[in-house]
Amino acid sequence: MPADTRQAASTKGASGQGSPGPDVPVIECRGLVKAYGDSTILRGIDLRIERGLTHVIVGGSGAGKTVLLRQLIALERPTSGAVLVDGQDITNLGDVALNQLRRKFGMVFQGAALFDSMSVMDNVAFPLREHTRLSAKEIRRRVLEKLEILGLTGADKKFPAELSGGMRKRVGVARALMLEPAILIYDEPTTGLDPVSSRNVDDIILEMRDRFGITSVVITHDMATLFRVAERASMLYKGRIVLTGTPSELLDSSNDVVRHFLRASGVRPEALQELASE
Amino acid sequence: MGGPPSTGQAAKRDPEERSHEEKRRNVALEVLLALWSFPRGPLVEIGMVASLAFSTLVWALRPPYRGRLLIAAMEFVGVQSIFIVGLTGTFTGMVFGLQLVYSLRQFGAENTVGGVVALALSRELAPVFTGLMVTSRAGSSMATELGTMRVTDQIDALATMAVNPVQYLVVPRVIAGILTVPALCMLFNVVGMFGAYVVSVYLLSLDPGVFVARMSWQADGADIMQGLVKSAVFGGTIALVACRQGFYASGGAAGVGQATTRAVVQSSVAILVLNYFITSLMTSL
Repeated sequence: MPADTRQAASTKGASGQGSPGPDVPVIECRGLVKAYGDSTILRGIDLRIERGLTHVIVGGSGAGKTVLLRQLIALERPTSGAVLVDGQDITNLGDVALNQLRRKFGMVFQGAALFDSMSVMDNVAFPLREHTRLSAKEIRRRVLEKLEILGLTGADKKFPAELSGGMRKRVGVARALMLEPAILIYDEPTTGLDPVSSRNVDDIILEMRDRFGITSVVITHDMATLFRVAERASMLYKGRIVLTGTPSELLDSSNDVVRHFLRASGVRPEALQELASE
Repeated sequence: MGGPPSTGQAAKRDPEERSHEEKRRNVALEVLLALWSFPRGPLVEIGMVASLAFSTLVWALRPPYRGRLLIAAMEFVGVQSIFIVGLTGTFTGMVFGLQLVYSLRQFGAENTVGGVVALALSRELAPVFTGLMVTSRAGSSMATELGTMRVTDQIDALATMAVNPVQYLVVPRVIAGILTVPALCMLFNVVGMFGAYVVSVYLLSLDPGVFVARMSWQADGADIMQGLVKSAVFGGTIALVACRQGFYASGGAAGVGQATTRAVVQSSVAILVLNYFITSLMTSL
């Protein structure tokens, strides 16, 4: 399915409000606040994720990255503020409308979140079996095609426990792609992987953008990933976005928090510049 | 001497009195909070189970209807519990028959054993023991499975794939509990009566005709129905409590273990408490 067809079908099916204009960001956060009891994690996030770009949200542990991600895909409701997807406020959507909306999204979890009682084939086929009336043969064909794209040929009969960390992540990506979503969200995609596997996952993120025109949101604390895949980047610090810009702008920033984070990442600025220019 | 205190003394005493007043208030507040903490926990739990029960009802009525998941859940809760319930039922009937024959023989009333066993089994023992066995086998397993799915993000993954986790995970288990526990209760009744019959007639020489006649004379369809209604309520409660604990588990492997323990304890207590209230309600009807 071509990217533009997929986008239109997805938008129509999910919002029922027709296609949004090209200037409307895919996701927009306005004054997003999230508190658990007395503990405030997000303290007024304003963020725009532009269509077709790979936007990396970077921040240290405890900065609120995962909490922000859970608001973006409406796994939790914010304490105040709003999240708009294609211009539609999703903050107070009911369960049925939320289910419709979520078909626009694909999500790759930190630990892949594969169903451990199912084989790779059943895991990847799951969204198609739930949401389409395709024949078993057609579902199998599509699953095998996706597995081949992601370098997982022959892994369809294996169970998640038999896979390496990198393979699990790729199966997670395959599953997230099955409904051909307009937006793909990656939660810490390279955490726990060796440098080579990390590089492979970064390549997959880039390939998803180039091949399917998907808008990607990547949550990470890995600066190498940021400079390899990002077209836009936001720095999250103590529940606030302290800077949004291109990776180069991030590198040249005089913001103390950004400079400290870059220094602490242990990667030389020249090396990061190299990655950005790649 | 003996006159009103000077302004300086009054000003010194006022803060002291205020301080004592505040301490008294704080102590009273702490006592009230401590007293409230006793019913608070159970009330919160009951509220969360009730909320999950409501969601389950709503999502059970909405399509898609997942027949395969329901059959798999019934196989897990019902079929896989047959052996343990059958074994428990047989030995419960046997020991009950044994005790009753010895006790009632002292008054020359051993002929009533068949009737007493039938009544006790059908009204109380079968539903309660079946419920407790299903709790320990299936309830604990449900809580562990869902808890593991929660802490490994599998439940969130379902939600992000536009599949409602309550509809996919909780609805089939609760319906399976409601449908299969009464069937297991009937099994308990049958094997329990058989166990009591074998002990009473073959080991303790009771007249088989009298045993069967008393059994059918004293226990009727209403008694069996009472047990079945109870076991259906227990089945739904076991599944709801287990799913609630698993569904909201947190804290990794330790958290899943604690959720499982809580599921078993809460289900067992709920069965015993509900048993009294259902009995009270049904006998007053």
